[in-house]
Order: sequence, then structure tokens, then C-alpha cells
Amino acid sequence: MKYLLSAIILSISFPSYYTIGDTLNYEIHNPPMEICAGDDSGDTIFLSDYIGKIIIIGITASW
Amino acid sequence: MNLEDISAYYSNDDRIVVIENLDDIGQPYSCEQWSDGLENHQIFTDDGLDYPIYDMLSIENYYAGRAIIDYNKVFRYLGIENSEVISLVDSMLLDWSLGDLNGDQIINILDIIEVINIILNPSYNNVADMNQDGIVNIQDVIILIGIILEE
Repeated sequence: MKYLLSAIILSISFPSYYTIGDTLNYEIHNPPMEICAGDDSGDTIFLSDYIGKIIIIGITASW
Repeated sequence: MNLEDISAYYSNDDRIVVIENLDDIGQPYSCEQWSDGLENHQIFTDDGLDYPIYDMLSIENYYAGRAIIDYNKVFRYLGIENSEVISLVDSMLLDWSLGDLNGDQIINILDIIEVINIILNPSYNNVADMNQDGIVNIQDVIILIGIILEE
């Protein structure tokens, strides 16, 4: 619950960096994402790994 | 239709990658528990204790949303309607054209400039990889020039 409240407060305080139609700047915003399930678990990927592909990304929380 | 259904729908199309990024892992579900039973067509990821992906894309504080980033790094969609996701991605696939780096539906000198920029700033873009050999190099520029001269 503490994390949920933190997320809500943070999200209200800081709107998203991008809006629809913006081109993402991977030199600034390209966070590492660790694969956490499946055969490649433990590997790290970046959004920039998929330039030239269509990325569908689910923004999910485990609660 | 859940995100995994979207992932399964496009599972045979390597132009598309589906990532499910999880925040607050362990509250209460672990990543393994969240993905348990799914056929794992999508990639499950954890971007750490902070919320960098959410901070980048969560317009109006969406959670449980789906974002679409196209092959030119353009943020195209954020929402919760899977039918809208399918509709948009299908239309993008119809318009998909190797060599059309700037997505203007025309292959011309501007796209050659984009390919040269990719070569000079070593990176990879599937749309620029005209011969689909996994490398963007002068061979791709030659193929692109050939296409333009034929038009």
C-alpha cells in the first residue's frame, strides 16, 4: 500500500514525459528492463533494442 | 482480450514485440506468478523499484494500459481497449514498407539520408535493413537507391 500511495503521489506530481505523437528520445529515456520470467529471465533489454519494430507495452502493476 | 491474447495474435510476426512491464512486483504477485500459465508470447520485464516506463508513457496516470511505440520510435497510443490496439497495429502493418524510414509512405532521398545516419551512428533499424541480413550497411543504401530509380 505504501508503494501504491507513493506511485499515485508521484504520478500526480510528475506527468508522463511523452504524449501521443512524440518521438521517444532513447538517449535520455531508455531504462533497463530485466526479463523476469521465462527462459531469458535475468537478461536486460532496452526499448532501443527494438527500433524498427512495433512495440506494444503493457504498463502493469502486480496489485 | 488480454495483453497475452494480443501477444498470441501477433506471435508469428517478428515485426512486433509485446512487453509486459510490471511495477510493484511482490505486492502481492511475483513476476513468475503473474506470468504463470501464460504461453509467454510476450516478454515480462521489471524496470526496477522506480517507475521509469510508467513515468515515460503514463499519460493521465494510466495503469493497466497498453502503449504502442511504432518502428520510428513514435509514441502512437495509450489506452486500455485491446480492440483499438489491434486496429491501430493492423493499420500500421498494412502501411509497413521497408525503406520508408520516415513513415511518409514514400521512399525517396529523405529515407536514404535516414539510412546513412543509421550507418554513421551505428545502430539497427529493421525498416532500414533492406536485405534483412541483420545489419544496416551500404548494401541497404544501394537497394534503396535501386528502388527509387525504378519508380
